[in-house]
Amino acid sequence: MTDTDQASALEAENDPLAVEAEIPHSLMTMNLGPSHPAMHGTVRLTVTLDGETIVNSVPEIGFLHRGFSKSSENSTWHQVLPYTDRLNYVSPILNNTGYIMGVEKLAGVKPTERAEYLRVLGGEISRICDHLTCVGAIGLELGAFTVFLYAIEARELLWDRIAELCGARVTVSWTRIGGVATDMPPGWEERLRDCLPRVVELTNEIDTLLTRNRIFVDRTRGVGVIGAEEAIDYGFTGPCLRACGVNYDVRKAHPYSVYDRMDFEVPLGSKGDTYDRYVLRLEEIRQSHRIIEQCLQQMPPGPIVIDDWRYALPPKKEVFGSIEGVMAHFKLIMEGMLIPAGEVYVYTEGANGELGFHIVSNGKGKPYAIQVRGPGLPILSALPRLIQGHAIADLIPIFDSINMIGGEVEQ
Amino acid sequence: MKPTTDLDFGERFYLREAVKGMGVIARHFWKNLLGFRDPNAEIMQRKGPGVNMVSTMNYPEERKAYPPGYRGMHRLVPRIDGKPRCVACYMCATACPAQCIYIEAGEYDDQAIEKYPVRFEIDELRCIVCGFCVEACPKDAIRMDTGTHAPAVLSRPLAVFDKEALLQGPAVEHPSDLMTYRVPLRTPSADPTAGPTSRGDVKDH
Amino acid sequence: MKVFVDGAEVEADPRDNLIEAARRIGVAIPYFCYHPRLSVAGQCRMCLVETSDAPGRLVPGCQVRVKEGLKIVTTSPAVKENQRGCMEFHLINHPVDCAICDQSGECKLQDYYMEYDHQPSRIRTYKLNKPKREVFGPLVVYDAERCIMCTRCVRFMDEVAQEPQLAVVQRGSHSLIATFPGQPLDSKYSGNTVDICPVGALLNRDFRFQSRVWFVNKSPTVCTGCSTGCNVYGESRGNVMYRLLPRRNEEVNQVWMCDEGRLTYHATNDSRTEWARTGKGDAQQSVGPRLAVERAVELLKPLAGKGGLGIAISAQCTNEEAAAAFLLGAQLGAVHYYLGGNPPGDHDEFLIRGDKNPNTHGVQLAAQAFGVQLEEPKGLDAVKALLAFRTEGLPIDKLQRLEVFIAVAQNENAVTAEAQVVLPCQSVYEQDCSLVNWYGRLQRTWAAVPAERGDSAPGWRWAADLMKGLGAASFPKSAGDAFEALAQKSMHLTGLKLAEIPDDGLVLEGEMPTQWPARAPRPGPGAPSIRPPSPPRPDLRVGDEASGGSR
Ligand code: SF4
Ligand code: SF4
Ligand code: SF4
Ligand code: SF4
Ligand code: FES
Repeated sequence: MTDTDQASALEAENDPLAVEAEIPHSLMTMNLGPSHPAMHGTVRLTVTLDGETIVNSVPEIGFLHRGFSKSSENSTWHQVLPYTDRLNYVSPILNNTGYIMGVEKLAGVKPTERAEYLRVLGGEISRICDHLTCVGAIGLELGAFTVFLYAIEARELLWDRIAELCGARVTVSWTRIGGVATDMPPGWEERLRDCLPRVVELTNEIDTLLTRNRIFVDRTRGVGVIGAEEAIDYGFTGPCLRACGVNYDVRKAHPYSVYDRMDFEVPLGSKGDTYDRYVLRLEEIRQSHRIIEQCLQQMPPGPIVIDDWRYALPPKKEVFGSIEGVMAHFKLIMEGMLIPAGEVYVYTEGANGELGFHIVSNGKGKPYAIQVRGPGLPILSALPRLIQGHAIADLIPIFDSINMIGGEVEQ
Repeated sequence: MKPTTDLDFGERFYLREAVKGMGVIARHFWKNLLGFRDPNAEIMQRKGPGVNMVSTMNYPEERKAYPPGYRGMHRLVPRIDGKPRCVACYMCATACPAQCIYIEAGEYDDQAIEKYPVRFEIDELRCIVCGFCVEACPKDAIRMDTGTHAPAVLSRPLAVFDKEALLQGPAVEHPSDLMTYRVPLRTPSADPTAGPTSRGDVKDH
Repeated sequence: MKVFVDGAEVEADPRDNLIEAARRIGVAIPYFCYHPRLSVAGQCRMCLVETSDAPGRLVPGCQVRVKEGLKIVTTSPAVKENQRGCMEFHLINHPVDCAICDQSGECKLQDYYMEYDHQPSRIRTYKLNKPKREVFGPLVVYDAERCIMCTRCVRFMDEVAQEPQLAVVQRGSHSLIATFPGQPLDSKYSGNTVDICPVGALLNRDFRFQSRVWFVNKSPTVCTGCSTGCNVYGESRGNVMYRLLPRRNEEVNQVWMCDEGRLTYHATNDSRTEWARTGKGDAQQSVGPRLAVERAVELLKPLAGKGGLGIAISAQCTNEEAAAAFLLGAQLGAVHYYLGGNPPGDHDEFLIRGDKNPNTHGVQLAAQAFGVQLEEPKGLDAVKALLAFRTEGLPIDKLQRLEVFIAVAQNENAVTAEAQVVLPCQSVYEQDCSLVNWYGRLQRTWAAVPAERGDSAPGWRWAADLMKGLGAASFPKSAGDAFEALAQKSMHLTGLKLAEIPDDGLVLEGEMPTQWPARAPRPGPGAPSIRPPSPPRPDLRVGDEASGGSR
């Protein structure tokens, strides 16, 4: 210690304010995740804190990377389906549908009417599951564990229906070129009709518990705000974009499948904060419920997959009993469906936004290239912007409200 | 829809909303406490006097059976004579995205079907339960209708199920099987020392 | 000669039929019974197309020859309808056998069905029963139900193998292919009938049920069965080889190969020397490549330059192995060089040569280039130490006498049991290398089996390791290096690089024999593959000091 140091130290002793000023004041860097119990998915956030305030943050992905694109190039067109299950693993049917629509577009195949309805039906159930997970988790992370339990109870009911429909709860691999793999089992429609009111009831209870609850509102209102323009610049889509008041829903803007025959509304927010994102998801659950009801009403009878042996496996009876069937079957399994050469980009409304598949075929039985536009990545990239200046305690609710799904962000 | 309206006084005052919330929770509480527990695994169909629909299950005493179409543990479907229907065509192994099926083919000397699996192994740890193998089988010889999942094991090799372990469940026959069961015409071979028609023949069937 | 295929102009050869003319611009006319190397039978009717010569009628594309200005239509509704109907007829009695049929994956019926038919079966009756699994001969088994009576096999046996052992018997839909009583299909070329059979009616007993064809990787290589060096594809999965199939080379084997050659891959799978080892009998010990080479160097070092050391090179060795062996021999001052190899076998006037080694010629060329004299292995008495590159044809009784015996060996046998050091050698099918066939054709082969077994390495690599261990400054570091070391010395290979050898090979002229077997395929005079020799450029000569001043 030099003399001048000693002198100033003495001076400081006499002046309490100077003592404050002398306390070393520096930023703190903290790692959150990748496997933090409060983290929503396997992602790491390196947060720079000034006291409790977030100054800066860097999200780091890659902990769930599975090489989707590369693996797909080494699989036949159908073998890619299990990989798409694992993109947004909460709503796999939506991914299955998005991918297979791209392949169908390349092949110039139109799925059967019933398959279209089944896909929309399954997709909307998936969407509800996704939103329930997000809404439940946001409650959980703000201390409302009950909400989480209600959400999961509702989701379980729906996943049970999905298991009956597709043969698996999560990894469904359900769609096929020109249709779907399995039809509704007998009695399934009634069971679904049975459990939907219960799902709505639970949703309403969550609504009652949270939406007008001052603690919840105070924690979420005006937190993680992003303006419409900025959100568009970041590439937001889906609920996060609509929470900013932008009316863009692929189902309405560019109707695909049978969405043009469905009567539903696109809920919109105004402020683009965590609260809006939450309320919007609740409302979308109700809209999805409406779509499901209409699907069940309009569901036409008929085959669930097209009868074109170049793209769809022949019916089992033909495979077991006729040489024609077994030859087509063998060729399709050995080589895969020969999808005409070409390049498409198809986009559908995933649970978290626009889910795009860019597919290139060179006419072989395997994709030449596949890239995914997962809705989660652009939104995640805006996370540092969303949480900047907020308290560290707000990080988790904000992070939850954008509903990042690891599998989708890192294909 | 406009979700963001400002809270009115009552809401800002906590109490009203808190009571409402308590109401919801209390409903669940009383239902769970006093509700008659119907052990029906199908929650939506639980019946009982008073409040029903306790939505939990006392696992493992109560278990929900897997639905009929559920993709469970594989089985190799037997024919009525107990032998596997499988003809070792490798379709399942080809379709499997996880490449978890290993087959070695052998030859029946006395049957029209000629080919059968000497070894048929599935690594249930690698399996992603996609069901593509079932879809790919041209003989209805592999199914996932066991209604159970692959059991937990204490070491990896134990998750590899061999032919004997997989060959189980009820036998299956199809009308088209007639065609493959017929006795083939065989002319006496020009080469009396011919022996088996393939190399490395295993005759222990 | 100009013809028009679906409107596109094609420059066709006057000898072309319609199928070949269309093929020139990549238009595929489907066919079963036509084969470019067999006579035309017109059996299957799959190839019918329309021409401007006979409007409104369908003519067989396999039988009709092109003529000036002919317009061929392959896509008209009538043609398509014929193709579809033809497929349906072929499938009427076809068994539901793809699951147990080895042909699936390379079956013309499957391919054409997907391309030209793809409609469900309309047959509601039972199919005709015919004999199945009939053993035709040592290599071939026949299934009459799958046979589409294209008679390719019959024509092959008549015209190419020239041993008419197959015939069509019965009539109509009951007809089938049969051998004659007491006369199995035992021609040395019987395996080719399996290859040309467009369906799974004839199958190879050696390959049957071993693997599915879409699992195996195909790579071009050269058969090691005899000195013809038939061009083949080797098919493998992992490090196991499954079969050899002929690869087209009009100047060597056309599109055929012999049955014996087909089985040569077994030596790559079975009883391999896998691990480098030292000691013999009970003292055997797998020590890994480094220690084994060290031990070999230890044994060889005292002998270097002292005489009494011999090097045996088998005619199974590749050019690169031979070159490296001679380089090593020069460094060690070896005094005797022995040329081993498989004993001669039978021969014929077509593909099969009596010399059962793929590279006798190449080893001789290399010896000539390095200026060494090759001796018969029965003269082994002259040396007390021997380093053998591949072990074929070494007299086992004389080996016991040797003080030092080191073997670079591919397979376990009585010879390797005598060696103090055994270095496992890759088979020809596992290496990128070159061979010279009996009439002086330099042919390239590519590794057909990707994975290595145990410690095994190409022979030249072992030679290089020994050279390094013995203190050489330069030694070949790749197969290309080894080949270049040879090319710099040989007047036949001057300026060639391994990677530059054309896929079809080169004839090193001047080595062409004057006596040809009557039907052996050969390059015509002045064929583009013939390469005149030129003396090596002196400035390129390197390593002369190592070669003991032989030049
Ligand atoms: S279920 Fe799927 S992953 Fe499992 S064995 Fe069958 S094909 Fe393979
Ligand atoms: S697909 Fe069926 S018949 Fe073929 S190998 Fe698999 S289980 Fe056996
Ligand atoms: S010949 Fe071809 S179509 Fe016939 S059973 Fe064999 S693979 Fe199938
Ligand atoms: S066995 Fe094969 S090659 Fe011979 S006629 Fe029958 S289908 Fe043709
Ligand atoms: S190829 Fe012409 S009739 Fe068979």
